[in-house]
Amino acid sequence: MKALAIVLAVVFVGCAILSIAHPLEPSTVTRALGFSSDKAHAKHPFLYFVLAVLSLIWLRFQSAQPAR
Amino acid sequence: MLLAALQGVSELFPISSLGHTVLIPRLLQWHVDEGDDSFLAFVVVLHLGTAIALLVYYRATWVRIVRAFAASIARGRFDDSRDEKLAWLLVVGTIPVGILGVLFQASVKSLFASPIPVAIFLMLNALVMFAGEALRRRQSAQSGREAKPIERLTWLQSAGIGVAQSLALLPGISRSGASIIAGLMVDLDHEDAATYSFLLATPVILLASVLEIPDLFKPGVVVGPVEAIAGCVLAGLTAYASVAFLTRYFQHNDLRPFGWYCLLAGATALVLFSTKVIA
Repeated sequence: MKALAIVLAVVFVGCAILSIAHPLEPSTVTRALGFSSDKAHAKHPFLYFVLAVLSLIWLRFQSAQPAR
Repeated sequence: MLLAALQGVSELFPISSLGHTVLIPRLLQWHVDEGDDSFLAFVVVLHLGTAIALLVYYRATWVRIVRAFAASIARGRFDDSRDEKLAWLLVVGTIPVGILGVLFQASVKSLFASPIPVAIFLMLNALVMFAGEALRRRQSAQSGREAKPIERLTWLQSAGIGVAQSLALLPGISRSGASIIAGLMVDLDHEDAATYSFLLATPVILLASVLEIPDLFKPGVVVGPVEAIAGCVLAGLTAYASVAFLTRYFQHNDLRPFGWYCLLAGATALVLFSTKVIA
């Protein structure tokens, strides 16, 4: 599960970068994901950033030593 | 200012604020362009007022939640604290509505934000509330199960309430109505279901409005500072009064009166708009 948390964090960081740079052509999917530039908005990068942080918190919870 | 008062009330009452934002201006023939940047910016200010009112009303709870949340991250594991469980339940419940809202809000709104679909969804909202209340009464009568406190929700149940809350992307479906019904289905009582619904709505409304604040300063947006502050304060005051009323109301009452209102309002709007009495 630690590997999944790391993969999710990387994927969400990648999505955040794409939603800031929005390099893709506008289409229904790229618009919904925030990857196209015709309707750039702060909500998409913020969402991906929060999801990446939550993935890292999940990783931390798995890595921490159990209570004695 | 009427729009500000309407927003403050309808955001928290289970009657769909988005549905009312579509129907009321058309019923009163206000000629408001809901796609206009200035109108959207004004709506952002009203949402901000509503979110601040919710934060102020539940301020003591939020202070405990934030402290417990930060402590659990620092510790790297859960303990048995009620506030910590509540904090993480709210995170889990907010994820579905955050994802679905950001990805689909614009396209869903552009598809359905016209009077006839809104009227139909408003009636559907009523039927969901009636069905939810009937199911809940049947569950209680058959199994005799006691209502459980919020912190005994499972992660999956909290995510389910979050998904139900996302139904409010459809104009005419109420955010609080859907999440209260979902809460009732997992054995919360009305008061706790309403409280959880309001707590769950707070970060969503607050973040959505804060992230749209830059829109207030876009070229061509005309919202005067006096209008903005007055709208924000009025929406906040009506929202505060609404949440104070509703938390007391749900101690002894259920959703059915709101269901009757939605059914009547939806049916009236459907007749008026489909027969073109109002264009």
